[in-house]
Amino acid sequence: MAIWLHGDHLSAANPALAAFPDAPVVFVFDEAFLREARFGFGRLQFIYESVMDVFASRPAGSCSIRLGGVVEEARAFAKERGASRLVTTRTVGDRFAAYKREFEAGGLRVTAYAVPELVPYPEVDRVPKRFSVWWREVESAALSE
Amino acid sequence: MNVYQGMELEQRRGNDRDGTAAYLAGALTGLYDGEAVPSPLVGGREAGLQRLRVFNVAKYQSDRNDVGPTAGASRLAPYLRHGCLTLTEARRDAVAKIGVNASVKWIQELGWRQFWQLLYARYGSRIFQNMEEPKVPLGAGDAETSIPDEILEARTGLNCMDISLRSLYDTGYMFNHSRMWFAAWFTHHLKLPWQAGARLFYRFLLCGDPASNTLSWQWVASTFSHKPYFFNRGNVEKYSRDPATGETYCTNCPAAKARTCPFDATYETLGRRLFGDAYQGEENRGGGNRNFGGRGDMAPRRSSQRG
Repeated sequence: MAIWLHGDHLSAANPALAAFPDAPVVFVFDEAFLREARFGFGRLQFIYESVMDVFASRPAGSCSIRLGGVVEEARAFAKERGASRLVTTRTVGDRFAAYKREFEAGGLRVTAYAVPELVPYPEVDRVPKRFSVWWREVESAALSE
Repeated sequence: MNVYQGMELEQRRGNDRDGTAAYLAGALTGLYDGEAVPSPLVGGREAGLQRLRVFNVAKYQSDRNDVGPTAGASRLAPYLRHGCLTLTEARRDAVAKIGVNASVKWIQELGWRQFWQLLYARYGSRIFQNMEEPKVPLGAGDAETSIPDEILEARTGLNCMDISLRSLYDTGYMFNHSRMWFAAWFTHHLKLPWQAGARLFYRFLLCGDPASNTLSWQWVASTFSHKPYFFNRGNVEKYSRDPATGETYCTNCPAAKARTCPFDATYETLGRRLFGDAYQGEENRGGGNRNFGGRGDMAPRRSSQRG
């Protein structure tokens, strides 16, 4: 298996990396997305440095950082390393969901680990529109010792 | 089909940040805006942990809204947004330092980040359009609406805006309180579409996050709150004061000197000027509560959630 690292959980302690300390890791700068988004340069360097910080905790030669299509590059990396399964961390957003579907359509199994939240709140469809209402629901859990 | 030729990037470690910037400027040509210089905020979990260690959470509780030398902001947002640190780690650190009762404001701000993510999970890309009908008249346009050069060049002639915009462009960081001031000015004074302002922040903030950023702009605009957020000069002076010199953002502001400051009025006067008949008065203000960027630096004029 191989680990697909993305920009929402750039920590060596994230659950996917922690579960497989010796597995190969790939991060891809999403070229099509960046061309459209036009981030400030500082933001891209911040992300790059965060990726390098993760790589520093992994075995030499096990990691790759690429620029291109996320699905194509991660898939190529998995193939190079003989992996039929990708492990990653779950995140919100259309791009993540679309990439996961594409990996799976291409024959890769994908396991997405959940990253711990401040408070457990599994019923997403119940989340109210006002913070004060939500906070009343979760306050005791958030402020427990 | 992949139209992009994939490319392996170098793995540059160590402290030569300028060298890394020069390398990335070449490797990522055409994929970024702004000058190819590193932000003072170093990326990575190690840097995030260092910042967490020195973070004065007690000072945050009291001075989180300040934007001057006394600012209590954590500057942890980029590390939380990119997952270098988790919300639970940030909470645990505060509780270990000063206990849970003294950390309530901070934990609540961490809660804001989770709340925005939950809304994004529930509503998906609907968050990029008005979540609710606006409560006041807003300008027309969308995320593609062009932004005046004065804003893109941080030369609006308003110190509270220009200082904040320079920080945004040069460092990728802007105080939460400054973000709110800018968003209110952009949306309610200039009547520019909140979507265009949100796009600007998303591109340049190191902590730019679809959920936190977009929904915070909607909170200011009143498309995701009961009423619009706005501020006056007194608010800027109060929170930008340097106790050593007594100077504020307004002290040397060209607009203040020329008596053209658009914020120099009472809330009632400003409310009627900006919103006309849609203005609901001051007695019900402060019912909302928000956090620009998904963590961190508390909104002014917020109602307390705890007594």
